[in-house]
This record gives sequence, structure tokens and C-alpha cells, in this order.
Amino acid sequence: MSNSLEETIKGIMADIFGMEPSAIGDASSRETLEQWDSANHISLVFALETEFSLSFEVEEIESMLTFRDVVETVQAKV
Amino acid sequence: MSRDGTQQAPEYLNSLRADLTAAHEAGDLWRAMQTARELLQQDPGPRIFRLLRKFAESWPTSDSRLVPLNVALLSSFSIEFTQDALAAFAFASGLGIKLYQPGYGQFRQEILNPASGLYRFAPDVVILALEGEDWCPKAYANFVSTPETDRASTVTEIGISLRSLLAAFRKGCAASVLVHNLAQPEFPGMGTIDWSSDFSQRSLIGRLNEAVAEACREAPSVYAVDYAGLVNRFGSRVWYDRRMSLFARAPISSQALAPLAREWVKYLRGIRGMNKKCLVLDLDNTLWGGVIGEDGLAGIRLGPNYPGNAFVDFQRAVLDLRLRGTIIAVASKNNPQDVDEAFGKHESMVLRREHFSAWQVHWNPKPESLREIASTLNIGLDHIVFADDNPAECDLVRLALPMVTVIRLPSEPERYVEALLDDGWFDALALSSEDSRRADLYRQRDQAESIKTEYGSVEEYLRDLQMDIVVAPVNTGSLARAAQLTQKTNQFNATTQRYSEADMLARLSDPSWLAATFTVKDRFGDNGIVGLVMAQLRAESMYIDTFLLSCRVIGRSVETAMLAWLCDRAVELGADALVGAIIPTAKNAPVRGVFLSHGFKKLTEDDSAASSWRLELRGGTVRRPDWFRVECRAVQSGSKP
Repeated sequence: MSNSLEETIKGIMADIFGMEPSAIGDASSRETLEQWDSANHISLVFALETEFSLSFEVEEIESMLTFRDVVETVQAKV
Repeated sequence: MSRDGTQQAPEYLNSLRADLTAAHEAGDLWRAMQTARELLQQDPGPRIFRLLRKFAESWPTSDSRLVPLNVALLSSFSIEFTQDALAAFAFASGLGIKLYQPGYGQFRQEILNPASGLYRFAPDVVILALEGEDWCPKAYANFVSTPETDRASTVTEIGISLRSLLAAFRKGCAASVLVHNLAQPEFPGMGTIDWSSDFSQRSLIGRLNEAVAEACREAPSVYAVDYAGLVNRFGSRVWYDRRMSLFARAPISSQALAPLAREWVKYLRGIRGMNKKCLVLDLDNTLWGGVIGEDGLAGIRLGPNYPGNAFVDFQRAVLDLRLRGTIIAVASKNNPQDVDEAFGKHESMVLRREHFSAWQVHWNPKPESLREIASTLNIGLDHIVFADDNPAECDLVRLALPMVTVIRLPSEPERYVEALLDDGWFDALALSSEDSRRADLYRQRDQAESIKTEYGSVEEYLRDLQMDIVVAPVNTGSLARAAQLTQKTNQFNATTQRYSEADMLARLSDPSWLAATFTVKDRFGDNGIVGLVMAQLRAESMYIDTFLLSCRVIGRSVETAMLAWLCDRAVELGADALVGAIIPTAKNAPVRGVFLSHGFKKLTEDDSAASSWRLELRGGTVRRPDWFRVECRAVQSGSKP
């Protein structure tokens, strides 16, 4: 289950950042990925909210700095 | 969840994506646009927006059918999240847009600096999306603390400031400009007292919007976008995302992206003169509830109570379109007399026969009717919007005529008006006196032209339906449906013999009788049992007692397959001839020619115009059209249910 959730999130991030899902992993963070800028971060939030029918608080949005953070934040809410 | 409220299986979305790829490979722009519209209908979310934006950008720019448009987005807030949705909806309307967007809040610098990126981009359209909060804080957050005299001066100020911006812009660029008007705040600063005070916040914003509209009216190619009305349609709380507004200066919620993009695209189409000209309407379950040919004048739902009032509302909305210059036409499978009676006599009918500029009422396929309408009115099929409640008819039109815009009306009639108006297909940027007269001109043309029919393509249509017929004896499982068909079928019913289940059983217990049901499946699904034949072998003739077809499959040559089957059975049973009767009723015009057209000879006709018909089987039987696949379950004469 959590694996498929990770895959879904990878797919969403890849789509927004314009890269292959396989290129996204635990090493991916806002520091390492040039495409993960603040505008794309908001797009990511919208996409995750739509996909998983949830709503993030601002603190959660700010705390998602790495791929792992995103997975854990989503996991805690679904 | 799609906009029409139906939950679509992911397979359906996947098949649409596959259609998109296929359309791309085939260079079939109409098909691609149509698939884009369907995707946006089914899943108007960020993923589809991104997909369609990429798709639109990959479409060859050499294809001149995709109308190119450079759009600059200037805003007082962070607006980049709307780009994908805008590109997606634009493509679905046949616009290939390129976007330019400076950082938010830089709209003044961009306009005032002749060397700015805006002018280098050479826009065709500039969207000036300003939130009142940013543009005019005295009318918003600072309203209560602003003295009354200063409040009044904001109205003059906004007019001056907008005029000077537009004048500066015009020096450098001839592009069209869309200016958002200002939405009302969620809560007026004075609360419940607001409308009681001499100078309320709500009325101030109304006056600001008057000033914006006035400045836009004065300047050529500048149009006010009714952003306030848009926010109002959905509600501030749904429209705005306070969280993102405060955190990222991106106040528009993700749910608002689709309606905002859709609204902009109405204007973009208008600027390029791409608004649709003609609305073609189905009748049954579209302009009224029920089926006129079955339910009769008194039985259709149209009037002061639900659901009749929902259809009245829909007719009013159509009439409004007609009055502002949209041509309206009818494509309906019906008896012309029934329809004439409905329009002539129904007291709640809002639309009148004379409102329609083209009229296709018969049993031929709808794609043919649409072609006919386009040629009668001398307009392109791509200027036609077709609205029907029947998904199979909608799919058929989509398939046969991908350039036609199809509105599949939702299952609840109270949502017809929004389905008609949401996309603003007919919206124009200016209304000339020509527009309001246009429909009348076309109406005259309709009367002058005679109605032709393209029989050549009927067969194509029938093949395309991929129909399978299952013939089976009436049995315990089908008795109730068979009896119900004799009770309810009025139009394609040769003798209108009504049977209760018991009466029918009594016939079937006699070995000289045979009774068979016909189930028709097509590429859109299973229509269930739609045909019934009852016949009796007496002496050397097979007498047809009941020959009927449900109205939903009239015009598909199913009757030919039924007669072919009956000929085969009659020959097997040693009969020399088929004998049929037509007993005319007020409703059964569609069936009256059935025996004549299948080679029967008329035997007699009595005073009531009832006629009997005979087909000599030795002279040749009725052949089954080869576009049907027929499966026969065992039928014995006299088979007991």
C-alpha cells in the first residue's frame, strides 16, 4: 500500500517537474532539484490535495522539503 | 468526480488518453479537441490540465486550423497556477496559446516600460487580473478606517488609473485587453449594517465596477471580464484559498482554476470570432420531459411543477440565446405531427416553431440531420453545438462529426441550464443589431429550402452501430416485458393489440401461435428487449397479429431483420405466405409503410383505413440486412412459457 502511495507521489512529482518518475527518490529535495521551485511546490500541493482528497496546513506545506517528507506528510493524512 | 456528477472508471480516462495519442498520430485536430473537451468534462483537475497543456504544445504549429494566440497574464497576485488550465481549455476550443507572465504585481511596470518583456512578447491578448484587495485597498481591508469622502474618491481614482494604463498600453501595442472587475469581499467590514449605511462597502465596489466597465467601454478592443460574477457563481469561500493567499500570494483555490480558465477562454474565442452560431436541440427529454410520441401532449413534463418547470427554465435559457442572435434548430427522432402538436398546442411551451431556423424531425440518424442543418443554414459544422440527453446519440454525433461541439445533458433536468451555459459557446464580445436579426434571416432561408435526405450514409450509420440481435421465444423471463411492450408501444406498432400477461399466455398455449422477442445490442450497450412479433399459422398462411418496435430503435432497420426472421420461420413451418395488417392510430405513422416497403401486396383496405398485406414466400422472402449479427434461441410454435 505504502509502496503504491510512493509510486503515485513519484508520478505526480515527475509530472509537475517534467522528469522521469525513476529520477525521483529519497535523495530528491528542494535543494537538489532545480525544478522544485516555489511555484512548482504550490502546484505539487494542489495536485496532492486533489489526488488524495486532503488538505494541508501551511506548516505542513512548508515542512515538505524532501521526497521523503512529502510521502510521510501524505501518509499521516490518508 | 466529473462535472456531470458521474464517477468515471479510470479505464475510461485511459481510453480517452489513448484517443488523444491516436488523434495526434493521425493529425486529427477535431478529434483531439473533442477528446480534450471530454477529458475536461470528466476530470477537470491539475493532472489533466498539465497533460493537455503539454499535448497542445506538442501540436504542430504548422497546422493552421489551430488558431495561434499570444496571451499575456498580468496580475496583482501569483497566477502561474492558472496557466495549465488556461492552455488546456484553450486547446479544447481550438486555440493554440503561448503564454507570457511577468512576476506578480509588476503589471504597472510592464505596461509603462516600452522595453518590457510584455511588448517583446507581442501579445494578441493581455489579461489584467487584479484583485480589488490589491488594486484598491480603501474599498477592501481599509474600508472601515477610510473616511467617507476618501471612499467616494476611490471611484474617480480607479477610472483615472485604468484609463492611463490603457492609454500607455495602446501606444505600444494593439492587443485586446481583458480587465477583471472586482469581486465582493466575503464579509463586508461593517457586517449586517453595511447595506443600511449611506455609503456601503458593497455599493462602493459596485460603483468601482461601473467605473471599470466605463473605462473599458471607451477604449477599443478592451473588455471587462465579470470576475465578480464568476466568484459569485461559486462563492468566495470556494473560490479563494485563504491559506495560499497568505502563504504564497496565490489566492485562487485549485477548484477555481477550471471555471476561471473556462471564463477566460469565452473571451479569447470571442476575440478570434470563434463563438458558435447554431444550437441544435433534441426534443424528447431535452425541451420537455418524456417522449411526445409515447406520452402524448398531456403526458409530457412541461409546466409549473417539477420536473416540468426545469424544462421551462431550459427553454427560457434557449430563448435568451435565440434573442441575442444564436440560431436554434431541432434534430429529433419523432413523428412530425406529434411535434407540431406539441409546439402548436402545449400551453407551457416557451419556444415556438418560428424560433427555429432549421427543423429535422424524422427517424433518420442525427449526424445526417446535423449535416442537413449545416447545409440548409450554410454554416460550417464546426459552428454547431448539439445538445441531447441521450448518451448514445451524443457519442454517435461525436464519432461521425468530430467538429461539432456536443453537450451531453446531465441526468437531472435542473442542471440543463448550467450544462448549456457553462462553456459560453455562443458568447460574443459585442452584440450588433445584425446578431439579433440573424436568426430570423436563417429562418427565412429554412422555409425557402426544401428538405433533402442523404440515404447514402444511412447504411454507413447502421454498420457503425454494430448491432447484434438476439431472437428468443417469449418465455417466463420475458413474458412481463413482452406484455408491457404491447401495452406501451404506440408508434411502431402495426396493430396496437394490447395484451395482459394472461392474455398472452393463453395465445402461447395454442400450438399454432408463435411469439418472439428481439433484443438489440449495439456499440453503446444493450437496449434490452425492444421488438415483439406474434403470429399464427392458419391454413397455409402465417398471420402477423403483433409487430412492434420500441421507439428507441426506430430507424435502424430492425424491422427488416424481424420480418426476415419471420419469413424463415414461416418457410420452415410450411407456410406459403405472410399476412400482415396495419390498423392506423393517431400515433403509429412510423409503422404504416412497413409491409409495403418489404414487398408485401395490399389485399384490402376498409373504411377505417385498416389494410391487410400479403407476401408470397415462393416469390422471395425478406432478406436480413448484413449489418446485423443475429443469434436465434430455439423458438417452437406454441412453445410454452
